[in-house]
Amino acid sequence: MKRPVAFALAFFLLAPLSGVGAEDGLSLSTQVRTKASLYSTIASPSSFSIGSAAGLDFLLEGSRDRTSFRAGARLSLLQGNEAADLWLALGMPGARDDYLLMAPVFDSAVVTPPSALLTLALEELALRSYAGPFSFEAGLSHANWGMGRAFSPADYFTDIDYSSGQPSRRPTLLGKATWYPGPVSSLELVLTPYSKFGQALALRGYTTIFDAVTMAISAGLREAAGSSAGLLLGGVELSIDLFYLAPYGEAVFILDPGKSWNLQYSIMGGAETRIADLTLMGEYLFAPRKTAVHSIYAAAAWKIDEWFSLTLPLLYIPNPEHLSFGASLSASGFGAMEYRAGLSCEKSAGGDWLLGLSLQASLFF
Amino acid sequence: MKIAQRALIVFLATIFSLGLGIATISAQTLSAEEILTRVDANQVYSAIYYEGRMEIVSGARVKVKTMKAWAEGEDKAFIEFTNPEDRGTKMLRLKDELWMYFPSERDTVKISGAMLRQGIMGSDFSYQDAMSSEELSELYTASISGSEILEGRDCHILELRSGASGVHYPRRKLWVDKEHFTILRGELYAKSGTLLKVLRVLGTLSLQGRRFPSVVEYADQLKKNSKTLLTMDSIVINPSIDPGRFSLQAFSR
Repeated sequence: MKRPVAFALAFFLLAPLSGVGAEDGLSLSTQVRTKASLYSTIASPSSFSIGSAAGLDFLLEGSRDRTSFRAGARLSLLQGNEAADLWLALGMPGARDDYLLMAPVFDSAVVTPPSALLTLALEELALRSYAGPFSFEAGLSHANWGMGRAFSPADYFTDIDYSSGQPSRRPTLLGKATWYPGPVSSLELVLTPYSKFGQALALRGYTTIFDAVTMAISAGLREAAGSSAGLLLGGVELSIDLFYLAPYGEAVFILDPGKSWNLQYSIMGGAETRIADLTLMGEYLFAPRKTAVHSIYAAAAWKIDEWFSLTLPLLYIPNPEHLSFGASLSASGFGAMEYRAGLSCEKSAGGDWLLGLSLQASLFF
Repeated sequence: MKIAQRALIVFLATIFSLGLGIATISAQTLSAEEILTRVDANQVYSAIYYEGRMEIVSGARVKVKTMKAWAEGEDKAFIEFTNPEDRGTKMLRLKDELWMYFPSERDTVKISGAMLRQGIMGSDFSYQDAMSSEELSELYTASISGSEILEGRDCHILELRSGASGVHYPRRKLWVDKEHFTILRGELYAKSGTLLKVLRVLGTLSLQGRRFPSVVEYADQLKKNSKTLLTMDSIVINPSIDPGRFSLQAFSR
């Protein structure tokens, strides 16, 4: 919790010096969220748990001349199983870094989760600037390297959150300098000083070839616990647009000079296609470690009409073991409201199967 | 389709470009090819900026998107959505390539061919509609099939046909204002003769002594009770646009 707070203070002290927040452009976007959920064990004897979540998301954006900033935060009040799920997740390394406020404060010694949990999390806090073909960014943000949606080993800096059933990349503290030698080409240098994966510095070149091929090559260094030499990182990303099918993939290696040049590698392959109003996508990650590790994500999305869509996701990750599938019906465009109803079936690390039902509503303004 | 690109180049505008030139000779004496050339020639702007409001109508339901758009030449267009649900979502078109940026995860996505057939942001415009950039006179062979008074304006009715591969609408029927050489109505057909889309101009405004289409309706005929209405405001012709606007760099600003 200390690092984001310190960074936030430094950010707001420095921002006025760069002119951010002036009349050139300042906007506040807000989203109100509510959710109710019910979970039941499938095996007998069955048990039920219920929960709710209410929250407010803020995003403040400002710009003047060649400088801009984004600051986003999420205030949440969780109850029942929603509070319990987050309490469990907070025990993971680095999971509490982005929380500015938490009541009650997480205590790993407390086994029984609280019935209610109030949190304020920092979602984004970044300062950007550009000069000619060069762009710069510092703060809590995303590097967004890699081609994958659910699995992206080529994004050396980012953790992917699967808790909602829809993979999303978590923001991380970074500094980034990018050179755009052409409209769709870039050379990007990223430094992550405080990452759960270790301090890292990497360079990535990205371009499009023949209109249909997008590729990137990256290389970098990452500190490693117990290794004085650090790790060497390298990766290749490729996507091909075959019109009816768009395959893509990533291959990444990690070399440890301090351990006889021990090699680890990961390969991700995926594809996306569209048939009428049905979009299908799938990704597979192969990451051999002590044993072969296979991860799979697949999703079918059917656009029923301009207002309703149905999504059927499936996710399997081995560590910690998680298997889930379900259905989510979304409705949008009713004024500034969005609604979602979800049904999920999930196998927990303990081997229990859980059936979940959730209802969500969001208001944008 | 080309029509729109010169004037608005960006997706929505692409479809509806209306000729802006003032006829100085009797349109009655012109051949179909000459009329089409004048329609194309009307799109002489090298760049444009506008703020737009898109109303996507399906039956009794209406979804509203607002945006800012920049376009330069035939090949460059940039749109930033400003309505609360999509605020910060950006689109970049460079020739036949289309890119989208989603602000929540700072994610840049190249729209693949498989996705280009779907409507942009749920509208009646497909990505393919947004990406056509050829001039009508280059793509089609035109013939005059008659005249008709449309919305009080005397119009030529042009029949356009194309045998070229890759043309999304092999046949078009256009109602062209005889005085201003603007398209007031268009019907876009598949090779089979199926009517795919209908466009109508519902409002114009005067800009630099010319009449400019400011309210345009586009209806996908394969969708039941569906249409999209685009209203353009704050139009600036030939503005000075930072070259970086038409690159991936603009996504990170």
